[in-house]
Amino acid sequence: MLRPTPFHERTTALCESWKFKDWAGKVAICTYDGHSEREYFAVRHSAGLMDASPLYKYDVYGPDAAKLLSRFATRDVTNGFGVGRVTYCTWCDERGNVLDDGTISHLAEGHWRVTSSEPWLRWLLRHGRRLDVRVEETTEQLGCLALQGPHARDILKQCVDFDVDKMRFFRVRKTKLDGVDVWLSRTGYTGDLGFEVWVDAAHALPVWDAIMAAGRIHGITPMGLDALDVCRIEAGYILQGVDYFSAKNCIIEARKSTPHEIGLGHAVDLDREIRFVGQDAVEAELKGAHKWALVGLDVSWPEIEALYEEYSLPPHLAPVACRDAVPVFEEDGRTQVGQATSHTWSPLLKRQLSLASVQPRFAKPGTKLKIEHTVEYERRTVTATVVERPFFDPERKRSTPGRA
Amino acid sequence: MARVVVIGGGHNGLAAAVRLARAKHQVTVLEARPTPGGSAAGAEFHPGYRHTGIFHDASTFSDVVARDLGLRITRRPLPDAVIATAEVARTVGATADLPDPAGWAAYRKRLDEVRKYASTVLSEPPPRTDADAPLLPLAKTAWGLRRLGQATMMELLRIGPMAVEDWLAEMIADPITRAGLALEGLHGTWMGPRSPTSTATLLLLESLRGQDVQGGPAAVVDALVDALKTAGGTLRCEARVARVLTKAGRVTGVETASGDRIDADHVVAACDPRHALLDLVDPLELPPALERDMSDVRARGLCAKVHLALSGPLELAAKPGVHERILVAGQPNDLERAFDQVKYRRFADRLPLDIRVPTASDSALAPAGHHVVSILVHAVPFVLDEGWSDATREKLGNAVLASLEAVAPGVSGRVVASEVLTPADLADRFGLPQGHLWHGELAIDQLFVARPFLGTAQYATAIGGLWLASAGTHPGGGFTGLSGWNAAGRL
Repeated sequence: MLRPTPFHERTTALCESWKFKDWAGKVAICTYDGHSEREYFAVRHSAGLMDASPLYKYDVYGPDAAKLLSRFATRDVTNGFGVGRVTYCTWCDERGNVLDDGTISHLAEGHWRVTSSEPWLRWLLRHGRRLDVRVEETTEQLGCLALQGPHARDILKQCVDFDVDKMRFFRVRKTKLDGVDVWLSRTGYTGDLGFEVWVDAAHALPVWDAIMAAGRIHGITPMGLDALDVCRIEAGYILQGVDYFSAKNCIIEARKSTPHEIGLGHAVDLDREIRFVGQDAVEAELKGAHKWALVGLDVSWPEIEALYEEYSLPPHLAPVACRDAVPVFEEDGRTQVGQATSHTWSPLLKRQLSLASVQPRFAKPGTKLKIEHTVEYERRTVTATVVERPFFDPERKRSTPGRA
Repeated sequence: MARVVVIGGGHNGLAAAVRLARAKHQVTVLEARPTPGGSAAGAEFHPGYRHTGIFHDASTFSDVVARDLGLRITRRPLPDAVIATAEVARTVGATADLPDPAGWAAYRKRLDEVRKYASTVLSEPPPRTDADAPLLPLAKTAWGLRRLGQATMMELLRIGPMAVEDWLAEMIADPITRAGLALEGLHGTWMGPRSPTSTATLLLLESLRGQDVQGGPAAVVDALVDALKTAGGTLRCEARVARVLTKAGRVTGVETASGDRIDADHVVAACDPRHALLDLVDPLELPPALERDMSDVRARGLCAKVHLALSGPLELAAKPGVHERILVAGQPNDLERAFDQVKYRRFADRLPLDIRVPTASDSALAPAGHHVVSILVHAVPFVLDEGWSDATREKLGNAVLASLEAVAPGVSGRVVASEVLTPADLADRFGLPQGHLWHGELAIDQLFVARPFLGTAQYATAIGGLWLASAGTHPGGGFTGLSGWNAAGRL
């Protein structure tokens, strides 16, 4: 049975589409309107407000917290990772296969927070054995709102008690939002300027109300998961369970991925005192060849159009981001070299985009490949060109106007 | 020549140390207690009275090990066991005095068949079972089983998963004999005669049994200590290891509780494997699967130990004379009911007793005319509902004495002194996990290639240079020395 989030009262009252889905056992909204377009453009032009409370959250306390998290995750947070910093990272099983990805925040001296897409309490506890740490699951206690879009900062300025202009990308701090204690992090999953607000569930509704009130003149729009999906593909962000699979959920080895195979090599620190779980395997893999590389694909619109033309049809694409994996072929269209796992039409870029896993020798930007496209029940292919990720990367995402 | 530190100077630690020292390695054995031998060591439990080991049966000590290490021990025939109740007594062993000699003979024949196979399997490291394992050792194990002959092999596969009582009842009509055999065949294990798979456990323990050793386990320990000296190894007592030091997934040495650091290329953990992996190794160095698998190993002790100093002999009501080896188990149902209590964290009023009277063959262990009675008490829980205290320890002592008094009236009046060791005491004194004699349950899911757990059954661990060598590894119990000897061979 699905359960409500701390913002349920507000979000469901506004949801006219009745399009709900299950996100980690919670009621989540796909789109408030019948279609996500309005919400999408709010994120790219003003601001969208999304209830991200179903994320799994773990608060880690104690002097050995950094040790535990450095054992747990591929990032080494024992050295110079000061209070107020956030990192995006991944974690592996002993064979170096990715279990999940998420963020680690250093909230205060001896207080850290992990977010994830799947539950990891037992895994964290296991690594905390005999360390001076306390791991507490805060998934239920904390509500989370993602305020994303170019106006996000201006909206927050009206309700928090510090100079938001000075807040840097991937930083976190405690603040009062309209008088309510919250954690505010400059993070998000849209690839835009954005923040996430972490608030005690008991005080969730006043925070929603305050942000919505402050955002009214900016055109703030409640936003659902459909719009988020389009945004995150434009931003080139992968999704666990779609673009790769947690090793703990995989029945066969072939489904598992290493950090480097899903483009998260940049989140792996190898030179460190405390070795992360799976480091031996990851290092061994680095000596040889990776099986996969994660790439962005730009799918040829003229070819799609021509394909439909053959059937005397107008071009037709799914109206929302699509998660049906399709094969990707060499340019000859015969030899399969990978699979594309997420697809969307980018309303901003006016391009059809896919995220794909391909054999590394086909991962060079500019490489021409073919992607399957079904028209009238017939499997055809169109050209897809490997391009740099992210597809969309505005300067505002990481800039800090308040810094001298 | 490698520098090797052996953690634990019990019989397995010593066996490993002697084998390594004889192979010219520089070996240091670190024993936490003031004397070596662990639960095999003899001790004076009351002025003038000595026992010959907490675990008092030396007949399972491996000949292969004794010969290879050149141990100076004297073998002697195992004394016959008297299975006693208040009314009747059965004798089993070299001479058999029981109402059902044909059944006894059938049982002995079956054991002899199994022993032929078991003796090779038990004295070698188990084969690997991982995907990259070489096939030959696996095939050898299977071929050995097949060579028993089609009928015997099928019979073994049939009876292994059975409950001891069911299997014994197929051969032996007399229930009192069955209860006695079950008691001795399952000692130290979390099993009653009706526990599924207990036959496999009995076959394991019984097929290890050979000739006794003069002086019991204590004499074996003395011989091991002598052999270590001769081979140039070092034994340090009162040196408790606090940490196994590691760097980048490999051992570098150990640190003792007093802060001494000893560098080593190899560390042989002949202590409880759980203690070695979960307490001594830095948790940040331990692979999580190892931690999980080790935590999942069952080791729930249910043995207590009582030593009695008697002013005269122990006289059974049903059989006159001085007997060295006595089993008090009652009927199979009595034994099963006593075991039932353990599940509910209690112990029964009448307890199954596995008794040795070492003074029967060595009068020097007690003043003239006096005797020492060594009792392994089955079906006493490590976790007692009321908790272990001086009061519950006394209650246990009384229950043991009452159980003994029932078969040997008048014994209470001869007690000069007694020592009662609860499972909790055994855990404290000898580092036995939850008081378990064999550092891990001897059940089929924790034996052979799965001892202590699958993937870590060849004595090596995922930490380079760290070896497991206690009874928690193959072959496990009883008192064999094979775990340590095998581990040293692998190293």
